[in-house]
Amino acid sequence: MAATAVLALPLAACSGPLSTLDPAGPAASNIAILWWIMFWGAAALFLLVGVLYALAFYRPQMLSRFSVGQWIVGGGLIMPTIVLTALVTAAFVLGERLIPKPMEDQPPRVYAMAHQWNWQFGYDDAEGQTLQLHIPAGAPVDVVVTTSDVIHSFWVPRLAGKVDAIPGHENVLRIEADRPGTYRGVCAEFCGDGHTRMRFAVIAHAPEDYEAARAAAIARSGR
Amino acid sequence: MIAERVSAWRIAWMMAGFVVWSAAFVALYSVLSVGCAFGWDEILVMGSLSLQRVVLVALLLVSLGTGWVVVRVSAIHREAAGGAGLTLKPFVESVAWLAAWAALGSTLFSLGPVLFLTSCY
Repeated sequence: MAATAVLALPLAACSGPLSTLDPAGPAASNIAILWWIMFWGAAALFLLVGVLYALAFYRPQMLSRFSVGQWIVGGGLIMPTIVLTALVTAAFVLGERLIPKPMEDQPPRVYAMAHQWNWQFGYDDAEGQTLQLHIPAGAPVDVVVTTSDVIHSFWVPRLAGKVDAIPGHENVLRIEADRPGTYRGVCAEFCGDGHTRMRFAVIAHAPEDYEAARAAAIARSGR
Repeated sequence: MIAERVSAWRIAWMMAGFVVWSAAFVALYSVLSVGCAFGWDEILVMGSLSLQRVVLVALLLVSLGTGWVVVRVSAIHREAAGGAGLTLKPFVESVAWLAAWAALGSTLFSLGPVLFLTSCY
């Protein structure tokens, strides 16, 4: 019973509104794929080392067939080179996909302004601001992130990686939600004693409902 | 146990390759950020190459060249001390030579991606 509880504890973070392992868009999917590659790579290496350790105890003659030089070159040079090259290649390919490069059909820009301790969101094509970020589902959106005071970080785990909000500087994060829904976000950089309360949500609407829903949200926050 | 007095100078050559690697790493990392802040990625020089790319690749080449000099000098030290082939004799000079090769490989592996990765955004 206790063992089950201990095993279940690390799995508790695998789902829920802030889970990076439950991606809801392409950017978060790429990050989750990289995580799984790292996880299974690490698991395979852990298993390999465990097997070698067991063999050293129970079948030492199997290991002694290789010379010390072969162990050092094979295990210390060739194997790490293969493993690191594979992991670095995966990280580069997936990392390049996260970069908000110019597109033929440039995504709409929204503006995330961080304050101690809340967020305000503005839009290129609408007056006014909202307290939650409203986006159309099924299309990329570039979030321009900055801050009016200290450093914060914009993080919606199910949609994308995190990006810092730096005073006097604009960082751009490309997010996309596959389906309409509410995706929770947090400030991911400690920013004072209100840090843990600095939450927000990204609300993705069906494209046909988007403008009306956003107009209603702007009207609500203006009151 | 046979004790051997090893001069600091000979020990220093064991570190030389990775000192070059670490200096190159810090230089490339900081110039990358400085270049992005100054918009070097939007200044085109030499056809379609950006100033940012040219500066980073030049730094990579300087790093590889310096690493190669360390490899050659440590090889000459090793030969002068009687070392030959893939053995660890004499120990200090051989380790210095192999570490210089490892550092040169690491420089290419960890800094080589400036040839093709997106640098700013």
